[in-house]
Amino acid sequence: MKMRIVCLCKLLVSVGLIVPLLSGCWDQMEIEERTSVVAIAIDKSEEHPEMLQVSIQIPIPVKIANAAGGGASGAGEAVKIMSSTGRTVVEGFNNLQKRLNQELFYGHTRIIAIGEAVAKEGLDDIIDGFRRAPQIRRLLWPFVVKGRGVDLLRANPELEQIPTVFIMSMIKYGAQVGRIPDQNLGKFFSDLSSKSREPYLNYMEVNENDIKWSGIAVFRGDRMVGILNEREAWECIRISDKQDGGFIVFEYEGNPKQLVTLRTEFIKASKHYAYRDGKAILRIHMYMEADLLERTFETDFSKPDLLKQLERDAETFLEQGSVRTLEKLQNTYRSDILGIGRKIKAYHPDIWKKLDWQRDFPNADIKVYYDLKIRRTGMEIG
Amino acid sequence: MVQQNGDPKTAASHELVISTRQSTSIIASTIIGVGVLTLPRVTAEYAGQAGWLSTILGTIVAMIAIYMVTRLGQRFPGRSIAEYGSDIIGISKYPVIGRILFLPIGIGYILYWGFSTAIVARIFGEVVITTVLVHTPLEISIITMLIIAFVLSMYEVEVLARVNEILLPIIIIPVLVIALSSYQSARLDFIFPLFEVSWMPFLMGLVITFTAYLGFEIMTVFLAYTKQSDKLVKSNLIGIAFPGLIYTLIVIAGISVFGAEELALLSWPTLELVKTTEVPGLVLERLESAFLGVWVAAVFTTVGNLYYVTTLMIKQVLRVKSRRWTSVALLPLFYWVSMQPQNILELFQYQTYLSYVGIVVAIVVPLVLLLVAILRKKEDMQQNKGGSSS
Repeated sequence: MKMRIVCLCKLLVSVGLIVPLLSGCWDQMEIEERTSVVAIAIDKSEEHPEMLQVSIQIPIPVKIANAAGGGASGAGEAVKIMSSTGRTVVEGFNNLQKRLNQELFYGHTRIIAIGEAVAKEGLDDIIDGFRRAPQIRRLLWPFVVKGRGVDLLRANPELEQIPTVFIMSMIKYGAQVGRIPDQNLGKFFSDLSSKSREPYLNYMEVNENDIKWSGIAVFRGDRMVGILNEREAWECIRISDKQDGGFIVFEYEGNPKQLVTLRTEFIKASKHYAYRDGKAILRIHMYMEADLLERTFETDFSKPDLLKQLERDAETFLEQGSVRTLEKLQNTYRSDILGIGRKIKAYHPDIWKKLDWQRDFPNADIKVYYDLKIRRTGMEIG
Repeated sequence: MVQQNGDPKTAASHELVISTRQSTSIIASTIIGVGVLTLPRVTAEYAGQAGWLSTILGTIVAMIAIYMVTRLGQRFPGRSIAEYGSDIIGISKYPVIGRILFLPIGIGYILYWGFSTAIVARIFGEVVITTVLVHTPLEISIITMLIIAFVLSMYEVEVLARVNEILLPIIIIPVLVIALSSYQSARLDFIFPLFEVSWMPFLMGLVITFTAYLGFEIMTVFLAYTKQSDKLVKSNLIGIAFPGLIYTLIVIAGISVFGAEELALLSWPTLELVKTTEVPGLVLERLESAFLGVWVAAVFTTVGNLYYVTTLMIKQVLRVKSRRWTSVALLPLFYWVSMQPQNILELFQYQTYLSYVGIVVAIVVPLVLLLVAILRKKEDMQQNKGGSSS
């Protein structure tokens, strides 16, 4: 009898131990039970200026599957855009959740579009939620959008089923060829918390269904203070990120009718730092190579003098651009997005200790010199 | 030289079941635990950009400490600190006095290891519920971890040694791969200037970094089960070198990817590092789940070893008959302690206090015991036949 009770006890204990395992994973959630957000937009609410409007872009799986099977083109858009307001970002998302049947999932979010008005008021109170959320990835791309951020979500370039994928590949390709800075959320966070560098973000312009990268938004602290257009932005990424930048188009011998287009390639930069009379002095020598893509006038570049002239013109053009960019950054925006402060801190700590970079950056004496060599002229000689 | 074993019964000699390689793995896998996730932030908080330097110096301090622990153990082969400790500070004619004198130290060890077990289990639970299993109750993840550790503590020391030996490569290789591949997004200007050091915070950083190497002090007990060999010192030093290498790589990666200022803001910097990393040539893009899987193994070896050593110590210091029943009694106790911190900030605070105790337990006590042992020429005869203790 005693044996039996012991046996029974053992059985009960083992069953008791096994039963909890049958329920499976506590956090199990099937993929079709969650609503994936691919893009987020943050704007000021139009009716209540003190509130924030958050918008999300959600792909509709059924529509995508139909189109992939060669379905009708009239099936409607493959994404849904929803907006809601809240006093904070997370409250906004919470209000969105109230209108959805499934749980929002941010693990696939690739884009955060921030309206210009919000960026100008400062991002500190907006990004805190993104810093804390474990689903948000540091590799996603934040943008400042001219006008309202939600326009970027609404725009449908039609080349991709999901507009976000279009924007993603646009930035990815641009970064690959050195035309668009690869400024992701992680780098933005790092620059924001760093005392030796100011952050910047890519600046997008939306015109109905047309999406265009049009320079970068310059920040001072967490506030956007202005923009640099494409040419100035390229100047920045040549200096700070060692990128090639886009094509340059300039006047040959100062004649507006003689235009030349070059594709530039970054080779190296040498930077010399010094400190005199309370000022940081920086001389940057940029070495670039270029291919001739186009000219709009008759000349014979097989003569070495003329080619030299062309190189000199290109150098002047680039130098003028850098003067204008630096002038804007130093005097108008007073923001070191070039990371010059960080370089001084890293490689010349003795100079760094004498500087209060926030105050001294506008006074720094920075000059950029270009040394450009034209290597190839394409399929046409001369 | 005098044979010190006044009472042969107290000089319990254990079966020597741990090989030198297993001793390396026990040390390395106990050290590598929850600290991997937080270390870059902690060093950046105190030492700033020079965090990597304090990590390397921390390794060296830990190596000195394990050297002392090993020498101490070698003087008394087959006996643990609870057994030879009373010999060292006591009088050989009246062993009771030594035991009474050693009792507070022994209880100190028990409390330290016990609290460590609970706190490590809690940190494990916190990471799991904030990052992956958001809806799972904290209690469940802590209980599961404690139960596996409890199961391990039911077995013999030999099993523990083998478990550690098997799990060590599974822990080290993926962590190394991730640390190395995160160097893709590293930026050199974050790590320079290399020796930008302000001394007071740096020394503080060194102390804090050293606490990340705590865990090796369990060898004060496990050396009693380790086979004596000339290579023992060397293999124990290697046991420190493994975590030292991993820690240094991770700290350098953290600083050069995020910058010291950003690093100080991240709760689990290594996890963020994994999230920003795409291993080239691998299809896997989101490595954090894989990394957490590996990390669970790393935490298990830490919690398991600490649990085990707590039960051993209780048995030896308090002369408890059954180690297994002790283990059963400890389970709810550990669970209760681990639920005490109210929030994650308080938890980190507890961890810091605990690590100060750890410094005493891992460095000060072995150092004092070793010095006293040398001065009083206390050691077991069977090891040093040549009588080299002058």
